[in-house]
Amino acid sequence: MVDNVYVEHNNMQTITARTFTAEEIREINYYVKVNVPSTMLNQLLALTDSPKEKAVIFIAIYRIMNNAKNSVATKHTYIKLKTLLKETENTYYKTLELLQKLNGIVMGFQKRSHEYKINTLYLDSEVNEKVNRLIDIFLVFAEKQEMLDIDKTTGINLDTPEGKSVYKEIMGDLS
Amino acid sequence: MFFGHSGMKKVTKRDTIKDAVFGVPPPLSGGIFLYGRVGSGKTTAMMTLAQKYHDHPDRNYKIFDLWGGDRSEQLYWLLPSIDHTYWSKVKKKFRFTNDGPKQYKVNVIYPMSRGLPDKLPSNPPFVQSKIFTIPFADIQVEDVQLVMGVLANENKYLWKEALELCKKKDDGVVLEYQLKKLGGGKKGINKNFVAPLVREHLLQSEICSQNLDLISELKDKGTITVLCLDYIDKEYHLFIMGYILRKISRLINEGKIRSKMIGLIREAGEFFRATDQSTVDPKFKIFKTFLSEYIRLGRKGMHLFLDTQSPSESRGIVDGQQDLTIFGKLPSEADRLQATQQLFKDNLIKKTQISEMATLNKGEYFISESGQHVVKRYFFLPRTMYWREGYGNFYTNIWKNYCDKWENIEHIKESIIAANLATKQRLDELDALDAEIEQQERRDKNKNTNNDDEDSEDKFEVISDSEVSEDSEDNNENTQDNTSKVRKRTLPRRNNVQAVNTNTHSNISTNTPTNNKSNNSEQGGIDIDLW
Repeated sequence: MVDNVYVEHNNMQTITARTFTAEEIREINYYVKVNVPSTMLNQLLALTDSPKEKAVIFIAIYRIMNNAKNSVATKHTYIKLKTLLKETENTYYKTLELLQKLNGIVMGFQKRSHEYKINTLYLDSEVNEKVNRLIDIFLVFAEKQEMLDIDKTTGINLDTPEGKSVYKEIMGDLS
Repeated sequence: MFFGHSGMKKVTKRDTIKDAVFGVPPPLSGGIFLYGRVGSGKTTAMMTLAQKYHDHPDRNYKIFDLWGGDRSEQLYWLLPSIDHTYWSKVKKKFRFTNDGPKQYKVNVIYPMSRGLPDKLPSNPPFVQSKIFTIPFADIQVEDVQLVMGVLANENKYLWKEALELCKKKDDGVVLEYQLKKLGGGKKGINKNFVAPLVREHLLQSEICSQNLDLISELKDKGTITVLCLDYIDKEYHLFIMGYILRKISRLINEGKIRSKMIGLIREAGEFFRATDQSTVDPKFKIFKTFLSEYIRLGRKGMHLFLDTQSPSESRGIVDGQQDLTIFGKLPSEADRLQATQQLFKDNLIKKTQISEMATLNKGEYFISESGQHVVKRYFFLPRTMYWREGYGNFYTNIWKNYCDKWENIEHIKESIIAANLATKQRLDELDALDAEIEQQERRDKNKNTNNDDEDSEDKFEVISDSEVSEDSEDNNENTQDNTSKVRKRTLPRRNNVQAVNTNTHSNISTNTPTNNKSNNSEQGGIDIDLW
């Protein structure tokens, strides 16, 4: 079974958020929730096409996903994550090197040169697409992280406009 | 590590759904009161709230459902919700990770009684029905008062003395026997409490295997314990509830139970309506006093959730003790004023909110958290089934239709009854033996008395004979007549004896084989019939 999944994912052209089951998404979410502060998470969710900002987000997300890969319970999820990360592995190392250099420069020496290299790297449509896909998948994971636990929820807050609107929707649907 | 240099701004994402819901109310230190008119959904709200206090990983309260009212609403814990459409809508809308309907692990405990059916609901590993007995040595005078009202000193004395005379392994039959021995056979304590409960086989020894094990029941926090009083006389409902509450309170006080526990009591107005002026049964007044005390002791770990139709029913007994007060629809202005008077004075509720209480929909409530402003909330439906109009009998209409799994408990009932019968038989034999010994003692005593009588009679005869002999000197032929004259002096006694003796002669001769002096039947008859 595991081999089949491995082969299946090896032959797969692209991995999207739908490749992961709800259970797998929940598991990765749990890892993300425990290990990434919510303030940091909000920054990672920023959608941007600025190469420099995207590079920063990509590096962080790649690292989180790579760690999550080693923490998941099943081989299936591991393989899916590994396949997903494999696509952007080269980009990750290249981006990491460039960002390290950019952060390590003194008095702005060669700053423009490094920024130019990052821009060039992300101007490659194939690289950009793969990075975008990874961020998008993470976005789904992060969005799913906002799912509510029924054990911790008792009802609807009717003092807020949001609560009133949701209450009307539910009761309207049911009636 | 790169954010500091990236110049990115922090983006905060607002989740409208998250803003729309409310979590579990705060940790408890007292109790929760729910008010609302009939049909406002207060009992379903109570179930929802109790489930949250149980399910929430930070709360994890043990639930002990003590009283389901006349409709036995506590039994609906046994089945998961059937509102699938509702829950699928709610789950989708609120992005819940888990399903709404939930099958809880439930222990249903039934007090032993003759009226228990042979089969009880069972759905392993979730639902288990258990029969329990009560070790009478554990029963205090205050528990007895929940059946009889205020106890007279004589009854208190009899109860304590009878307990002193009973041993650890003695069951209720022995208790009744001891009470009778103490002369309490016809006293209220026996007639109204011990004898009926012994007949139901509820009162047992301390070593009875079916005794209610509250410690293990309370330690099993994951399981809901449901007390079911459907099969025992209504007269003893308060006693059983009071006994359990008192025991739990004692276990918590002694530190044997450290877990937090919630006790559910529906239709609590039934108990709180018992004001001192009213003419209700005194046992209700006593139970009300106990309940008030347990509510006050909530901070130790036992919290009571009580629902009642009108705030006036609980006036003066729990003010300031409740963590949460939940107001459902209250159409009566008097009720609204009664409920919100203090909150309004403390500026914790608005006039508009008080007015709105009259028109609340099902499931909508105003919640007053201790020291907080009143807020309006909607409670989700319980994750289990809950009582609805038209459901009727739970066992035949609901359990049979939705699960129909039963456990045969006939053998447990029979073993308890057989043990009691054996004790009764043993005591009857003992009684018979006692009676025989007593009879023997009386016979011996009587024998001694007769000997004395005979001596005195002989003496009398001697005297009379001498008189006769003196007379006989004059006329020997009249000796017999004279003797009969003398005997006439003793007639009142002898004639009576002889009259009875004729009827009982045969019995006497067989019953008194050892009486050496009963050479003539007349004397033997006297021996017995005098007694």
